[in-house]
Amino acid sequence: MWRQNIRIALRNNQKKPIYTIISILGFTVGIAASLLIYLWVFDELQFEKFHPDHDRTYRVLTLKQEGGQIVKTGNSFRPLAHVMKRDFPQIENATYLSHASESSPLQLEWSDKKVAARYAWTNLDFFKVFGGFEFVEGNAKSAFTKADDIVLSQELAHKLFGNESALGKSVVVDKYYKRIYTVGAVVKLPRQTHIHFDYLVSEKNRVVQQYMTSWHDSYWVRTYIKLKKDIVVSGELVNQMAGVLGKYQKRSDKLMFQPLDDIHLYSDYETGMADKRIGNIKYVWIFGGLALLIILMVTFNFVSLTVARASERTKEVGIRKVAGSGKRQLYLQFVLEALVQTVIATLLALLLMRLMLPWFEQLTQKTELLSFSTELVGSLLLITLFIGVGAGIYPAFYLTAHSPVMIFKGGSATGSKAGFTKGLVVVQFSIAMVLIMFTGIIYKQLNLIQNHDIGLQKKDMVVVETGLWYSIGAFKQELKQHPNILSVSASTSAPIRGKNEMGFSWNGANATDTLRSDLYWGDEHFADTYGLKVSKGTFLKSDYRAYWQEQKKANDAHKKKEKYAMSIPVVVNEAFAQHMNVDNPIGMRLNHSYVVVGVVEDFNLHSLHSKVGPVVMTNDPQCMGVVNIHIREENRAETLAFINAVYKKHRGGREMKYHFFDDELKQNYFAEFQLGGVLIRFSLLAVCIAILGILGLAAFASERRVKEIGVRKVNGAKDIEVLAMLNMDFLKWVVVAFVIAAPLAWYIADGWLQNFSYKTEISWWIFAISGLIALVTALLTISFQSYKAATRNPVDALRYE
Amino acid sequence: MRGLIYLIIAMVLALTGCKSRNKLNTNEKELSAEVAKKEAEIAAQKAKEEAAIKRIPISNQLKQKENRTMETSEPPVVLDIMEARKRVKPFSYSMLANKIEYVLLRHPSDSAYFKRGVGITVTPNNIITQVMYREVARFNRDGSFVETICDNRTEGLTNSNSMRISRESFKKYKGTLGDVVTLGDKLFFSYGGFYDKRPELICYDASPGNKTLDLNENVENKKKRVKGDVICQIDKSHRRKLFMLDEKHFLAETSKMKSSETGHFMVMYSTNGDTVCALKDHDPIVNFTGSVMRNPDGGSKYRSNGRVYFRQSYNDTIFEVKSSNRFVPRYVVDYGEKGFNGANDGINPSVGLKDKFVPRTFIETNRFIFITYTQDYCCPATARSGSLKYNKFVYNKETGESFHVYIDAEPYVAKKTKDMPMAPWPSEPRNTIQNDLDAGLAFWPRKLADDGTIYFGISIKQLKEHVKSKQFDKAGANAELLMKIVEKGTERDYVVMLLK
Repeated sequence: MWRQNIRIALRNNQKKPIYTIISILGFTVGIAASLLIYLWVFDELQFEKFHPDHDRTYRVLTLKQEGGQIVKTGNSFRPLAHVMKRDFPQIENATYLSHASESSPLQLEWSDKKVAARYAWTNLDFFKVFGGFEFVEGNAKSAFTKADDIVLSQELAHKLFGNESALGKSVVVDKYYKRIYTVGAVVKLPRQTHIHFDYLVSEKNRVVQQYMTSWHDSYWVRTYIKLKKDIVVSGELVNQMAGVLGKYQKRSDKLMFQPLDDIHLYSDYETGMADKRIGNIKYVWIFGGLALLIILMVTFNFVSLTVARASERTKEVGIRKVAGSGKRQLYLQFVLEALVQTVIATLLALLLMRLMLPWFEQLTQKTELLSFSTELVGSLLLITLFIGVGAGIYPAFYLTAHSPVMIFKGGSATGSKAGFTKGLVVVQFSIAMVLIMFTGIIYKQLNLIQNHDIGLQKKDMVVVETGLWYSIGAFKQELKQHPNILSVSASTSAPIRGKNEMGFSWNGANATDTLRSDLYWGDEHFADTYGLKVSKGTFLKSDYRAYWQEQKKANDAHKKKEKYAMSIPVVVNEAFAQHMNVDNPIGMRLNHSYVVVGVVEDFNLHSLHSKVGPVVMTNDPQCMGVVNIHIREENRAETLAFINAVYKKHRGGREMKYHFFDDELKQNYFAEFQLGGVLIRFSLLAVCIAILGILGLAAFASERRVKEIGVRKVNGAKDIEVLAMLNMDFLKWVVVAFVIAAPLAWYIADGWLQNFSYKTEISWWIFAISGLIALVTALLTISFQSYKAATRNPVDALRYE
Repeated sequence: MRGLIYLIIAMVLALTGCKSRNKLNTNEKELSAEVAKKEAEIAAQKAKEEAAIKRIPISNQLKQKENRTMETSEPPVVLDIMEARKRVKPFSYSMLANKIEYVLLRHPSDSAYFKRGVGITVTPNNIITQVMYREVARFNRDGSFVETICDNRTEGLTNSNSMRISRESFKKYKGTLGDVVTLGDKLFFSYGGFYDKRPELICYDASPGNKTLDLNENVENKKKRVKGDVICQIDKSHRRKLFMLDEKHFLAETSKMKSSETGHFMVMYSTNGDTVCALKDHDPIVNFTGSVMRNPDGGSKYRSNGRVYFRQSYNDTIFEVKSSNRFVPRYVVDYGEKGFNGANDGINPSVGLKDKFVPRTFIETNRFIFITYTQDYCCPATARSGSLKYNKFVYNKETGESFHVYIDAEPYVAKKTKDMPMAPWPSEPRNTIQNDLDAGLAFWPRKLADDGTIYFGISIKQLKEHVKSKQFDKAGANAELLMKIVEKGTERDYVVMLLK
């Protein structure tokens, strides 16, 4: 029976090749697009799952009060892992990662080549908690046998040793003093983890031991615990764990516990530079929803086309029923027809997906998205089955519902369901229009982001990561000799990266109030380099010498037990000056040691997701980590080569790491650019699918009305009048779709824009253009069929009648 | 269509099921509320501490002339002792506080333990214990041990429960030389050897969250075995009676026997070594040539409601330190005809004090002033002869009422023991204040925290005796707690009783 039904299905599909091609094409494109999105979503959901005990591993978060607000943060305390494991027998292992705030130069003993690498230190439970890291060389036991053993990441091992083995070899770190480490192991860090390090040092190492007992929470420290298997956890235990800090510190802070699997997508707190590859579940929802919409659209296409062609199949159904066919057999027949198309489409979709994969990986900045797994195959089968069944079941019910008597008497099978097909057209075009409108608004917002004046020079700004470097003066001087280099300055990091806050108080402020403000470090050339405008007073003038002199004076006075009030110059931005509520802040002291020398115009120190807040800037050589170089637009390659050469000369051959400031800015909005990029392409896809649907329907409609058209033309109707009549039948539904889509798109866009402090306007013309695009494409599509019908010789049409 | 619906449901379920099941799920809102509440408590406590340590305006001028005149708008309150002797009525804890809390201090085994002579100081976030010439330790307010701040023990002093110190130990000794004084959670104490001419004044910040490395690992202070920073050096004569006004200024009292040489009985210094103001001694001991003398009256310096007060020895006036050179008389104790003529009579054994009132202690709490004075000089001889009588005066600051709890009471004299073979010194009579708050012991207020909390230190032995005694009310408040403490505690432990 099955073979018979499949044969019939294939035969029926061959009878009307155009409609079959339209359906299969729609399915292929829809399934391919959905598969790509599925791969992306699947990848997002797989983070951290490669660890064998990922389901009982947690990250410890801190809930604390900062500046009057309760803040949740991943920042943690170095001794915490140890005390938690000791105090709670339910915890099997506990570890932490304490990242260095800057990189160190590594080299082989016999080589001059230096590689900048950032280490993290940890305890001996690290590989017990994170058992999924693959050891390329060595193993968890050999990793930290001795105090000076280190674990390299595969990437760093390759940079240092090439294809040679690294195990047991010595590596020299010569930053402030020379240290020799031995490679205890090499691990591969997969892409699907938030954990990153170039090399790991264990807490056995003397260099890090002295910091182990410090209970100051650190921006760079993360704590993780692994529960024992099958442990039953009571509410009381959780409360005790949450309040454990109170035992060791007189603080109000509480702890929360985030499952390891949730870190990538559900980190609803400031994750900071200690974490990498943090995503957002809302984008999974958005892309998942997009895939669903695409699938719905292609399914609707098939359904509406099949239902619209119902009259062609009713006689067949009637004869089958009369011949004794049961309803189940008939359902099976129609579902099989849909399934045949879906299976063909799926196979084609796989091919299409494979072709499009490299482009998609580039768009989403992911690699190795496609890996054949049981989940992928299973999901593919499920999608195929559901689309096929879903697409086939409604037409099956509809077509088999009519009684044979009614069919042979000549009743219309489509009359009462014409509204249904039109409804599907409305839905498809609504979806397409919402996507176009939303994409338009996203691009408008992205345009605003790119062009918004952040108060700083964006273009042609090279940011070189130097780490702490006291003798930077000579490097800066030599750079300035080059005619392509306009200005050089040092700062703690490129603006918009990192966040450091502090409370500031001043005379005149309420004694119990402190203003929580960003504290940013930049040298005396920062304003020139970044084009920062001074509105009152002057910018920071003193250089490092003045800073050290001031420190020396304070130290000398302390030794003599004398009083000395340090005067470290600072500039504040206008937002800060407003808070001070004084006529002239110049000369005022902040926190006893800082003296305001100038006020600068507001600038965006952080991304446009947040508004400009108060900022205090000062020049502290102990806090500088990058050099910002403003270069000319021309001869970039030559300028960069010069900078690299000078850097290597001054840093003993160390490799230079740099990036452009505007690239960094853009990277800050990577998620939004990614969303925009994907949406614009899928909007086009949605429009194409809608066009396919309406094309099929228009073709069928004009076929059905051949007689009517013939009669009208014989009675004197012009071609254009027939064309208009046929077009209006569909275009009015496109207008209805616009009316539905516009407010929906506005609502979605408005919700998305709440993520930004600087929002673009939701302009009316975006909706108008989207509606126009939809109308014009629909018109062109329908007109193609309508024109054929309208210009057909009425004699040919009526002859058959 | 049904298939489509199932597909949609399946995808929604798949996505909603993505968030992992969290066995350690906490309610963020509730925790945030707890954090906010605790922060508010900390802020309120901090404000209270700030208020408790009112900053006295001290100018940068050096060697300012003192001004001890009274404020006409607020003349000093006269405490009429003689008048108040006509009214004798009992006093109980319920007049002082609403409840009593007990904190068991568990001492680690490798440190000095509390056999005798434990000084307790309660700060906003700590309880500091000081075993003279042995150790200064820090405990949390819940009694858990935090750290040893100063380990004074040298050869001959280790774990000995004897108060005697051998000459050799005396020479080798390097440790605290006087009582620890506190300013909020900051501790100040003089440190050095007994023969040091210029011992150090050390400050240790025992604020919450501040705990430095263990003594053994403290490289800088390795030889010293003390934590904290040296803020200045002081004169040897000031090592025992320092009183911090703020982190940079302190009052130093001159020994009564030496004040005639310097002309001052007290000096206000800055930690830079500058003399801010020197207070002249108008009652110096002069021309005393006797070989035996009475112990001079110690005077007092204390902080109450954030203000600093002092009473010079043998003086009947209590002054408030209002600024660097302004000392305003606040109370005058009037002994009437029973008063005697100052220091020279006070120390001279040939001047009889049998019919005179001799001041012993002056304690000011938030609501009351307690003055203990004796008739005749307090010593074993007068106790034996029966001329020594104790009196307790109370002044209610809120109502202005003054009365006595007892007058002409016999002193308490302890029995001689192996540890104390010498004639024990007489002290106040016992059981003269009623504990009507719980089943515990009752003592007269002697020490107050900066926020006005009255506290006492009790040894486990003392508590055990009380719990086993017939007077112990097993059904009384805190009775179970006291029995638990006695059961749990060992000889190494101590109990702090706080009246709240």
